[in-house]
Amino acid sequence: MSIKTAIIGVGQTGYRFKRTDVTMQELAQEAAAKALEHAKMEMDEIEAFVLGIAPDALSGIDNVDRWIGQALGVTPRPQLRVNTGGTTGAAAAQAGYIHVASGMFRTVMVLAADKVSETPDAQWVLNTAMDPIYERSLALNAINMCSFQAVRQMHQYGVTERQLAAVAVRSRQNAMANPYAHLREPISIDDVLSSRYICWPLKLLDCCPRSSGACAVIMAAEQVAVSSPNRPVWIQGMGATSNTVYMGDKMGPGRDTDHADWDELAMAAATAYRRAGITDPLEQIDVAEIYAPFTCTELAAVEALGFCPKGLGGQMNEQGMFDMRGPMPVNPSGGVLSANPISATALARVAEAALQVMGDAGEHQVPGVRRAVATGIGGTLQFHTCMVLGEDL
Amino acid sequence: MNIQSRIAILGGAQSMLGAHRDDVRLEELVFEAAEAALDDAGVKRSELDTVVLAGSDQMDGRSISSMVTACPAGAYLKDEIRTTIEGSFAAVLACMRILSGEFETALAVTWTKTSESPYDLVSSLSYDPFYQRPIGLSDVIDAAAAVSTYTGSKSTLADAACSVVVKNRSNGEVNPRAFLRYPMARETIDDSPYVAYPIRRAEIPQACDGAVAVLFGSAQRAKAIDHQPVWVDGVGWATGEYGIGVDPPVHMRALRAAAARAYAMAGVVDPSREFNFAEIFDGTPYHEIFAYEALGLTPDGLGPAFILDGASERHGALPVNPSGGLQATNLRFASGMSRILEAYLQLSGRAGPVQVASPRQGIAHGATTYPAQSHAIFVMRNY
Amino acid sequence: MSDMATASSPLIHPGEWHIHYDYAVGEIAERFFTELRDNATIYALRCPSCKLVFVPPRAYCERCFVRTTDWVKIGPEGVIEAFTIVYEPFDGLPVPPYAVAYVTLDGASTALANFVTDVDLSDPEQASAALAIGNRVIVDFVDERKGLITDFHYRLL
Repeated sequence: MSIKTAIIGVGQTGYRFKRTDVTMQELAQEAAAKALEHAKMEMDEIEAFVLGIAPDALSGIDNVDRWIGQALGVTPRPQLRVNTGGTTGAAAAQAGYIHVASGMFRTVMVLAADKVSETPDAQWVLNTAMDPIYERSLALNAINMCSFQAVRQMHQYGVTERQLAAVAVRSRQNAMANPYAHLREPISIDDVLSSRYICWPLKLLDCCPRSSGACAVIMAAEQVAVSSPNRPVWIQGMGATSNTVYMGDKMGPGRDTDHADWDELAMAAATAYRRAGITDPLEQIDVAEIYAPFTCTELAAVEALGFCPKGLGGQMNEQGMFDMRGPMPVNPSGGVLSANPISATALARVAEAALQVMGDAGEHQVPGVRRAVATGIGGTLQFHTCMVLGEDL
Repeated sequence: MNIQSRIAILGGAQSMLGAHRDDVRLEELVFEAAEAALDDAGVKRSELDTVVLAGSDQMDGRSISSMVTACPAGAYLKDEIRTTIEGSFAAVLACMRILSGEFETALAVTWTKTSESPYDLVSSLSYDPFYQRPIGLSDVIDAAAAVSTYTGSKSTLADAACSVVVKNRSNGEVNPRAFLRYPMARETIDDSPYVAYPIRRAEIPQACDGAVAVLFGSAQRAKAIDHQPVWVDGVGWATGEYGIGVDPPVHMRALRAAAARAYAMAGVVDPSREFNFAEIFDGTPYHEIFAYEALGLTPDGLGPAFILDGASERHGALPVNPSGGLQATNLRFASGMSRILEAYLQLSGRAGPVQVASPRQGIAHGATTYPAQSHAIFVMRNY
Repeated sequence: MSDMATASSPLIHPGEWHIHYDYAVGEIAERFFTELRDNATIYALRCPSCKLVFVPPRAYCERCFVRTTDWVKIGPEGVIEAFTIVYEPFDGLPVPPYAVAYVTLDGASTALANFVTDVDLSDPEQASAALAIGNRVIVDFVDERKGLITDFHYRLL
């Protein structure tokens, strides 16, 4: 029933701590221009726009999406904004896919941008995402909510701080080959283990940076995609699962899902896999771009995606399972631990996964990728998305 | 693209409204609407395929406000997404999701609890920090400046604006779902002070708290419910310039673009004859008048005459906002979804005292507040 | 054009958002906070369908999608389900170090977050062992309660 949809162009600005040389809308223009150039298209050929902009307070302008539309010179074309926190870029990609799959548009540009460096402390903003009545005054934020996950993983599965450190080291190693990554200095296990505690057990180098940057992805219906100069990357399946905002519901005896695990991602992946015809993810998926802003979250993700049994992510990672040349390369781009332009982060996962399938990932290309998976995460680890991209229609 | 009889509305409802719904938290307000909409459709939460939310973080005072509203809207361990432009954009996304064939049911939910936030301040934060915010622009000021670009008779326009308020408030008086259920006299409007010339205090409706939910479904799903569905046969949306742009704002270029798309999809050729009613954005009465023209309900230049001649009265040739519109129920961010709900009730013959006679086709319109930059249009039928 | 100044350093326009909100607590949470303030008691709400006891109390069950009905007194002891110790200062947040834990109070089906006091946090290793998952705590109410979640905190047993 749905129209076959492909990604035919990708543009990223490169992710840096600050971009004081441009305004927010100029940053968005930069990514849009790069995506058009990559797809060999003109802005006139784009029929609709989806903007992924996470909390307004991160950039300090309410509804900055409506400013960006004019800056791109695309008014009064259809434009829609998605904001689902960390998941924003992935949810925007899913919304973009729906624009085309519905048959209403032949082409759509999905664009996400952030200038997180312009707010002095993103965690203060993210604290305002917490329930104002029960939880905000307890200083909860994006870092300590992941600490709660790490603590439970350590308790339930015996995950160690060293295992977490190994995730950071591999991510950084991959980032060294990706010119768009924000953090590209090599780090060692000892560097991670000796970095200061932020929220126990997470240390500075277990955490993602705050980055500025933009990412754009062009999607097209089959009739347009087949004549693209790039190899069309088909969106074979997608899934999303939302859970309660209350982390405590995922810990007590009444839990359906566990805060240690990403059971919600497993559900989203099951939907995406079913649509993509994947029955054996380890065999049928060649690379994964995972939204893992903290080391512990990546362990939950690889398990939820079916790459290894629950609780074994840390061990498998130490054994090289997820290395660039391992059986299931994870985050060849360096992932979120190497660049986190919040609104654009999850879209960058989709973009990087698409580049891997196109064979256009440059120095961090994994050889022979036919199918890739990209994930997103947002809220109190409550919003999960999964998208399967492949070279086959 | 023809989407005839592919997107159905299966049910809808709103929460209780109030100037200050202090008896409930935001989440509880959302639950009220979602629960009522599912009950209205006779559909269980377990049968939902996806939940589509629309909400504004700054108006809600919660960053990523969908974190707390997703589950009370029915999304626990389900597919869910949130858009932010205006409430009716949840319906836009819900319609596309149904059309994609990947979802059979989509519950669109939006809310507003502006009693909790300083609205004028929040609205000013939408302006760019370098050129516009330092001047103190807000949405009412921007709207007033927009009205100044009108080239026809200013006194006729002001007279027509006054008539729109009187009409919508008198419709609201008899609508059991409206918030302000008493009329507004012409003299009261004439005597009320200017907020920003030419917009008067009495022309800006008092806001209320509330949530609105509408359940969309596929044709297949529509067969399974025991009442007549209403079809969405055309959807169009567009975003125009940021603030006052290149085009005279009274022309409402983005609204014209949105309507053109929706009309083409639904095969509407002459909107002035084909619609039996319209539920549209009237955040100020001027917007309703300019929309008459932009939507093709009357030729360009004849917007003021359309109300002054009585055509848009509830018993006129083409009733506009028989529900009373925003003038009677200003749900701020949720207003567009409220228009969709009222249009749905009209077409399912359940509008009660404000029911127009045997409607077959109508439109619903959602717009961002006063500068009216983004618009969504829905053409709806019951046959 | 040639007379135009060239940019030498980034020009920054400072801006601040001060938005005051009045969050309505609602009747359900008001009962919770009133009991907390006046009687130093913690209440949860039970779902009539799945029988789970939710805290923070909710007017509805997210899973069964029905209104909750029965108030249930929970605590004052409970078990740690997750914790963290914050060592890094963040703008607008408390001065570190401080410990936050999710605790399932006796009788509840879900865990409730709050600060854990009276733990020496100077050594992360020792502090984290003291706060280990499964350890039991008791609720300590502050003397001057204001009807806020910070009217109590947890103390290790």
